[in-house]
Amino acid sequence: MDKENLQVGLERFQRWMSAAIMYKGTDNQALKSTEVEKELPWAEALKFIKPSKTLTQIERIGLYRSMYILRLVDVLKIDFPSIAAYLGDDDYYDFVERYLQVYPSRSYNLNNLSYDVPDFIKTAPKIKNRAFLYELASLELMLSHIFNVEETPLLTKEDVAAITAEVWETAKIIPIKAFHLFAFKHNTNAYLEAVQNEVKPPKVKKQDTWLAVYRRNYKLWRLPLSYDAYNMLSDIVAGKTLGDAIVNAIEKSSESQEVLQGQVFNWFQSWVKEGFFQKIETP
Amino acid sequence: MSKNRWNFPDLGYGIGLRTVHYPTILEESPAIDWFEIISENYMDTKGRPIYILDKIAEKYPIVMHGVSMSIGSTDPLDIPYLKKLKELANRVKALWVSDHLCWSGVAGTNIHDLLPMPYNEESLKYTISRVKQVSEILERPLILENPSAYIEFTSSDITEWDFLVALTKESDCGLLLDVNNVYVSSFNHGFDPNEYIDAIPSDRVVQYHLAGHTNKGTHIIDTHSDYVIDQVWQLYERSCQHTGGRATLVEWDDEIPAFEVVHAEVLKAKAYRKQPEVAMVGV
Ligand SMILES: [Fe+2]
Repeated sequence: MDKENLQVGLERFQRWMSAAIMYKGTDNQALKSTEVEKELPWAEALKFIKPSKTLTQIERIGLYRSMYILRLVDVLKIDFPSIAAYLGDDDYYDFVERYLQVYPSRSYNLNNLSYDVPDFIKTAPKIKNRAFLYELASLELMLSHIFNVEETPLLTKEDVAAITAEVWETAKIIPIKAFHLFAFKHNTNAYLEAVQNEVKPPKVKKQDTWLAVYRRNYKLWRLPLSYDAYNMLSDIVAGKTLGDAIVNAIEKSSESQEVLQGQVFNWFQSWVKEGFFQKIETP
Repeated sequence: MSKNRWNFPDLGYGIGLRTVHYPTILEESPAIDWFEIISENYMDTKGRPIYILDKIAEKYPIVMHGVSMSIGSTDPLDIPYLKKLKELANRVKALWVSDHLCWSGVAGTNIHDLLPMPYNEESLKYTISRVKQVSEILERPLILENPSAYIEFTSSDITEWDFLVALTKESDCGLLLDVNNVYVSSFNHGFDPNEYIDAIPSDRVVQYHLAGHTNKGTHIIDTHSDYVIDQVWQLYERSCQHTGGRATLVEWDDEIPAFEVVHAEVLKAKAYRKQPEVAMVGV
């Protein structure tokens, strides 16, 4: 009986091997699990896999199982180095294993594997410091998104000079595609920056912080913003006119109108220089 | 010198394009014959990867090598993926497009591994029909690479090399002969690699892969993390005696050394590539 060749149809074989590789647990638990035995019972699996001179059937399938998780642990670390640093090796490995149970890869594109990480953090049980990790994962995911979006033309100093004084108020300023704003409740950017610089990250603390992330010359940048600058930029990004954005920013600000109006010109100049915008639309 | 069936050019000695080598390639324009890209790394991005690839493709011949076609999967073909693959091939004027004889997932999930097929009549017929469909969509012959494997199945009743002989003939596809993979699988499964090399039809071989691996004693893992070992060079030399030599490439994916080191490794191939020992007179 043991020598008998077991014929397993191609589709059933693939469903079995795929379930066996993705099962979270030991190799024996995997092959004896309901999900895997549903495709091929344990006793048949042992007949179906050939042992080698040096490895048992279980050890051979085990090689594929361990390579699967190690590969995806590494892949997700490319997009989420700060999450990995915060959790530490063992907890990060466990985090990825649990994540893949809920969100196994469904795309040929490994970038897509990252998309659900912030949502998983939001909803999965037993996540330490969930609110901070959610912010950190959202920031890291946005950086990898911005890395891949298309290049847009840049607003030049000449474009700005061509706008006459009377139309500024009604002008809309369109940001580049590789641009995003964040309002955080923690020192999220400082944490990420420390991980990037390979220095000891700061203690996580509650702190209102604001950040612009963007790409210039195919390189990613992050610029911390003041509360007032963030308010004005988020109105601009939302498609409000420059006049409305200034009025709203003044309303929300604790600074006086004069002080804020004085800052607006400097902010705007530096944002154009940083390459935040692609064009100005006038009515 | 024998030719491959499609007269694909012998490009000489290339290496796999890897991000760590971008600065050297862009700043120094090294005198290397050609590059092979991992197709998926450039398919869903409009950012830096494709920007850099366009620059490199202006100066060097490019060959595309994919890891996600999953030709052997019983899931339907991913048509949007194939269309993007074709677009990229046209964009970079790829000399040919290759992937692996393997499957990567089933039932909509992706394991992101090059999983082995059982080799039998059912899988052969199935793979032949899939290769034909893909070649039609890509409007070019598909070139398939022999995988390295760590597991075998009792439902296999033909050898991998007999499977490849029949597959290439019946589906009219080409072969990317990975000599290191032949060695790795021969070690793991206990067959004679010379028999494999001698069985491969020369006119189907379009390209060679060479790489280093990790010998764990009981088995070998195809890590692409080291220099090519002597036994693999000898197999390469043996195959070149049949084919007269083809475009040859070294893959190095882990612990990647400097550009010059990888380039020097592939240039070693020149010494092993001699004219066929036996002239094919009157054949
Ligand atoms: Fe290869």
